[in-house]
Amino acid sequence: MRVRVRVLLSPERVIRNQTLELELPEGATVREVLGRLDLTPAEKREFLTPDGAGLAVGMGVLIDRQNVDVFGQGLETVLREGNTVSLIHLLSGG
Amino acid sequence: MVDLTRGEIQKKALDPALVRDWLGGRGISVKLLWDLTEPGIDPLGPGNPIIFATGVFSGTMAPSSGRLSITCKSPATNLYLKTNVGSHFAAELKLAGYDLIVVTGASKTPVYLWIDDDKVELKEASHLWGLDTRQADQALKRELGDSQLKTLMIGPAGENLVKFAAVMASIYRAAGRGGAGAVMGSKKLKAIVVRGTTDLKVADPAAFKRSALAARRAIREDQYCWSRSYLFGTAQGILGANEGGTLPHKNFQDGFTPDGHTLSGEYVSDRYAHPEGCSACVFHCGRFSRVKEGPYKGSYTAGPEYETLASLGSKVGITDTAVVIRGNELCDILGLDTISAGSLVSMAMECYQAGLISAEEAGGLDLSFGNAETMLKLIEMMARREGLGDLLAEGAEAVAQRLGPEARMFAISAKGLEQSMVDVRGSMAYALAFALNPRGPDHLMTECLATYGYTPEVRDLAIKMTGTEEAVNPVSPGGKPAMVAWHEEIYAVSDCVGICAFTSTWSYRMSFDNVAELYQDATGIQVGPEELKRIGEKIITLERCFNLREGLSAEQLDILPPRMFVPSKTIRHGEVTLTPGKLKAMLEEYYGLRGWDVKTGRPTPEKMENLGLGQEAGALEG
Repeated sequence: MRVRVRVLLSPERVIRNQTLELELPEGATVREVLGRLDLTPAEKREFLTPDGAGLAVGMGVLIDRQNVDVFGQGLETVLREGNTVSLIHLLSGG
Repeated sequence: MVDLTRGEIQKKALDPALVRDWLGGRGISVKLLWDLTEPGIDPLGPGNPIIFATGVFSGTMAPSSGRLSITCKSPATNLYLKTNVGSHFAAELKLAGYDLIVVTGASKTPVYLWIDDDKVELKEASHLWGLDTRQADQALKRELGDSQLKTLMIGPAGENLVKFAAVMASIYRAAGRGGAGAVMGSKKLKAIVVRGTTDLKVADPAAFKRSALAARRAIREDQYCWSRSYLFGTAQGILGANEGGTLPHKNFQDGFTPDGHTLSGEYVSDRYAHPEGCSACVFHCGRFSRVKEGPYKGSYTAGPEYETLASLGSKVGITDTAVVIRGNELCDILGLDTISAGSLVSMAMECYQAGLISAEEAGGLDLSFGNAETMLKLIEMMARREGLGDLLAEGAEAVAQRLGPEARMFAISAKGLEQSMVDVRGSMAYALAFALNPRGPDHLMTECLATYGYTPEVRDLAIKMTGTEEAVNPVSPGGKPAMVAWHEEIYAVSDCVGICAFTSTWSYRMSFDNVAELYQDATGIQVGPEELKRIGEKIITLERCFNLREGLSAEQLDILPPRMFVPSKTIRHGEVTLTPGKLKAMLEEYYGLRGWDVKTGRPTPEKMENLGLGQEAGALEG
């Protein structure tokens, strides 16, 4: 299946508006997407908890504009064909 | 006290009872406004006082203590208005020896108020009338021979009584909401200029320094909030809002702007801006931007903030950052609120799209979404009340009245104020807070950021203040009434002591406890955290009473723009997230928490008595 991934973490990626198309096996999870990205060590430190198990403070993953928290599976959330995954700083609002 | 009708100035010591009961800033101002006005007065008549109030901590090293409150009856809403601005003006006024300025009456000819420490005088300002804020600031500094003076002034929009005219501090910082600039314009008061050189004394300097430094350190230690604010300003939230489908796009038709990354704090800070701070600020979330190439080369201004990037950007279908900076610059020098200005432009564009504004009424302008030149032209036309701009200058609901019922859906406005750039369909805390806000639907009286639970500490606080984990589920109504009440009170207290709400909401590092400690060190007056919270509640209650005294009911006051009840296709795949029934249920729970009558939404006489508002209760019922 194909999913779109928007990597909006570092300022450099935001400025590039980085959007990738990934081909993933059926049943792939958000965590597998993370493994396919060329995140730098600094970005990994910023985005994930030190043990790599969860998201660091203030970071968020959206699937089709919804926070993965809504689905209750965090990084283990299973993706579907055509999903758009956004990696962002969580806070929104003015 | 400045009586513009008589041209008289009177200095008075601040009544200690007023300080004890209302702290300072916003608290003292609402009490004075209540006492000095009768219901039904014309906001643009001489009977509407305008109060400029520093905070208790202004001029000190207390964190981010650079805020000034301005209070009057709003010409946009005909209701209570508190508007607030950063910069260095509040600190300078305090260093000149003044806590607040109460301006009454109206002058026949343009004047400005010149405060040079203990020398205070009204001076002729006919030569400044018609100048933009940049020109007038320069002229005043030349005239008074000091380039370091701090100015607070109106631009042509205020002179022309535009309903969303701002009061501008040091040219670029706006007390934008609700039309306080038009109130100054109606009084022919072009500016207040201040030079303050006296020493400011606190009750216990050593303890105050310790407490202030501890508070500043606590804010800096919160690496996430502090660094995001410093690096990217308030616009750090643009990307998250856009990806989450809540960044207003084309007049709130939906919440996603393709290529919206060009409006992000990351992009703006990289290409155009550097950080700037207000007096004693820890965050430095302010930006100063300059366009160095392209058709808008040479434009420069403070900002753009999140609100402006959305209002003059995504909301009108524009993603060219340079255009937003130019629009921001025009609003600043002409003296317009960028939130309302952008809202009127996007409303005009949607009305045009729907055939409610004809090509002839548009006066040759192409009012299509995304047309940058049209937006910039309309900003000038509104400020100068030219052509279509004259109608738009009356505000969105007045435009809808003129164009007919179909246009009401396109007026993203309630109680006469255009909504700020938060799509409340994605956040029930904001929906409730916006409906209750006494000045209209915006986030600058109650900033419920805790609902997003973006750090473990913020998440825990949200759950603690509400007693439910639902508090951090933004689309659930669970816990939101308690969350709104808590935030209303901390915001009111922050406005009393003059600190930025970013310290007490966004970072949540200033709270009732350490504000109480700093307050005691600064004034020698012992006030515990619970008492501070109670004063916050009292302020919220009197602001509510001001609006009720105007003859409006809860059904008329606690409302949202109609479009907020129409699902957005980018929020939860177009699910219905907010209904009038859901809002009503949250309101009734809130009224109950406040000790107000659950059905009428009016504070009960017993509750008012408990808060020390027995006299005001009598006036309200009588």
